[in-house]
Amino acid sequence: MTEPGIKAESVEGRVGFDTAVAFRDCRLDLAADVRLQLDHWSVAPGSQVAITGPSGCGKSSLLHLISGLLKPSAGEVEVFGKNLGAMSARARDRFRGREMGIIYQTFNLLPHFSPRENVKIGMRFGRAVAKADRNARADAVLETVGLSHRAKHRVSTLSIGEQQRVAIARAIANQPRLILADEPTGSLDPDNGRKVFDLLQQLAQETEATLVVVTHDLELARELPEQFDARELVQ
Amino acid sequence: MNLLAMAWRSVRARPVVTFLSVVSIALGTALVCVVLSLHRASEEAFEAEIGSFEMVVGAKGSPLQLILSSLYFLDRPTGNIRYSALADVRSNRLVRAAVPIGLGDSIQGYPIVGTEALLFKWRRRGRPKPLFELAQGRMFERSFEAVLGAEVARKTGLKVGDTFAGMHGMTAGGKAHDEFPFTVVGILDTSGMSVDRAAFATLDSVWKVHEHPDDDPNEEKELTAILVSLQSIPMRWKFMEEMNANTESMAASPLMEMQRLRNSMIRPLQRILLVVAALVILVACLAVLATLLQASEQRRRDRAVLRALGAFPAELFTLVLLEAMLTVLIGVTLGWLIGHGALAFGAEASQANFGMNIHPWATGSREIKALLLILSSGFLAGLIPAAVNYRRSPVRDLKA
Repeated sequence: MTEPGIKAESVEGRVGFDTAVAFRDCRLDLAADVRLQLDHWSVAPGSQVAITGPSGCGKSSLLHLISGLLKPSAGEVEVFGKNLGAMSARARDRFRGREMGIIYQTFNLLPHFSPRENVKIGMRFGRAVAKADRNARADAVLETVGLSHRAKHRVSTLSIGEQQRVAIARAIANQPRLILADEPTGSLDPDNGRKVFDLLQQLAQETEATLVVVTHDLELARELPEQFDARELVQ
Repeated sequence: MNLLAMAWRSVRARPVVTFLSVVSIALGTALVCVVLSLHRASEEAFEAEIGSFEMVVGAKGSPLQLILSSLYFLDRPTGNIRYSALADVRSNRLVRAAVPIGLGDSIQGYPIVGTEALLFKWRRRGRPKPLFELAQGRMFERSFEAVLGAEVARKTGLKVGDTFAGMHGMTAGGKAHDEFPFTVVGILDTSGMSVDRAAFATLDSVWKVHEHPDDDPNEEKELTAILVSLQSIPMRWKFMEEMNANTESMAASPLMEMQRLRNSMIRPLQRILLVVAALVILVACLAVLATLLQASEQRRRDRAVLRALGAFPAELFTLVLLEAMLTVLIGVTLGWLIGHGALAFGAEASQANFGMNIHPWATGSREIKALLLILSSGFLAGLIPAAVNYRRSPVRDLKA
């Protein structure tokens, strides 16, 4: 499937790095005597990885480290060759906006805006899409997730499944090289969860984006080519 | 979507709290606008009158009472002085011009002032135009011809050519002097000064009304006061010294007396009103602060989402600040409209009851400064939640 709005820029070079995500001797102090430790872990560009593990094992913290919202206490987290810890806060925000699309279990949509506006706000802060192209791109991604007819409704009037599809549309609008999804099906019924999961996989594949999904649903996790067990991360 | 549009949406998204904050600010602003506009109007009225007549000569007594009675027609005269005092004053080397005032009767509570036509040629120092101008008719030339102040004409409904009888004394309801009818020959333009609230005629008209058949024809006539313009303002002290040395009359400076009155009575009241207005504004700003802090708490997740989307902390800081500024700006604009709308509503009553000419939609420099101060307070109130938000880590608020 080729969406002109989504495929507006070439994806050549998207896999030009050896790793999409790399952890080196990484430590994150969570409390006085609780730490997340990950010595070595890497994700290849274009791959699809499921991070699994029980609640509280550090899955979400791992995702925040990859997104740069958390800085490691020691060691390095590298995303597409960039050491996030060495970047300024502003550069990290800009990099996250341009290169990453993040999806949450609770969708984290802005409730007073329409789906179209939510997508456009994502593009505004992502700074990857020219202002003149944002309307067309927003319409294209909403069509991709099957929500064109709901583009101008208030987010709060959408069903749970529709809201998650808006979140996906927002995440892919900047054509990120890395899609991070934190329990994307956690709030959905099995049927909707399945649809959303399939959509995510399909879109990541089409845009050749690297997909990292945190999930406690082992059945879904097994559908991705790679799995990472996060059980031993927090010490 | 730019930050301003996002801030506007955010303000609109919580209508009740926004409404309450806006109303608080608007009421405070309206109060400030009204107080400052009234203050300005009263200053202008005082200054117009004070600046026009540098000295008033009258019977010994309270200088303030002399000023209030002969310049503002607001009090009983201190007494009368001999008519010959006018010639003495005019011959004084310090005096540029002098015009007599003789108060006697009234029309519907407005004084009938006996004077000379010179009063209507009076120019304020350095101004080319006369203080008072005719709107209709002509100046009085003969006895019992009257020129009405603008408010007197409006309130009594008298027109040029109409006649009226003066009532004895200075209050409405006195004995009418029907045997001495006045004919209206002219009506003055509105000046915003006390002449709007008086009728003017020749001095002999006022004297004739009160003549008795058994009066001594050689007895010297009397005046209530003499309005004086000096050769130069610094001569005031010397003139006062000279006049007060005279046992019969005294000179009072309208500027000094009215400043004393303002400093002792009016200014404290104005200050109290301004303090009340400032307190209202302070409370309103605190309400905005509380609203913004509450909204900031409610929107923590939204801000965290924006950070996750790539927004810089500075952009979120601006966003929160814009929300505060929009709330305050709406409140101030609404308050200005309410305040000046109220002034427009009360302008006529103010003119009629206090002779104070209010320009309801004029915004003076002090008011502009006050409005800017309110806006600055709103800006400061917005800084606190913006700073709180700026320092907050988004991870805490991003629930998976």
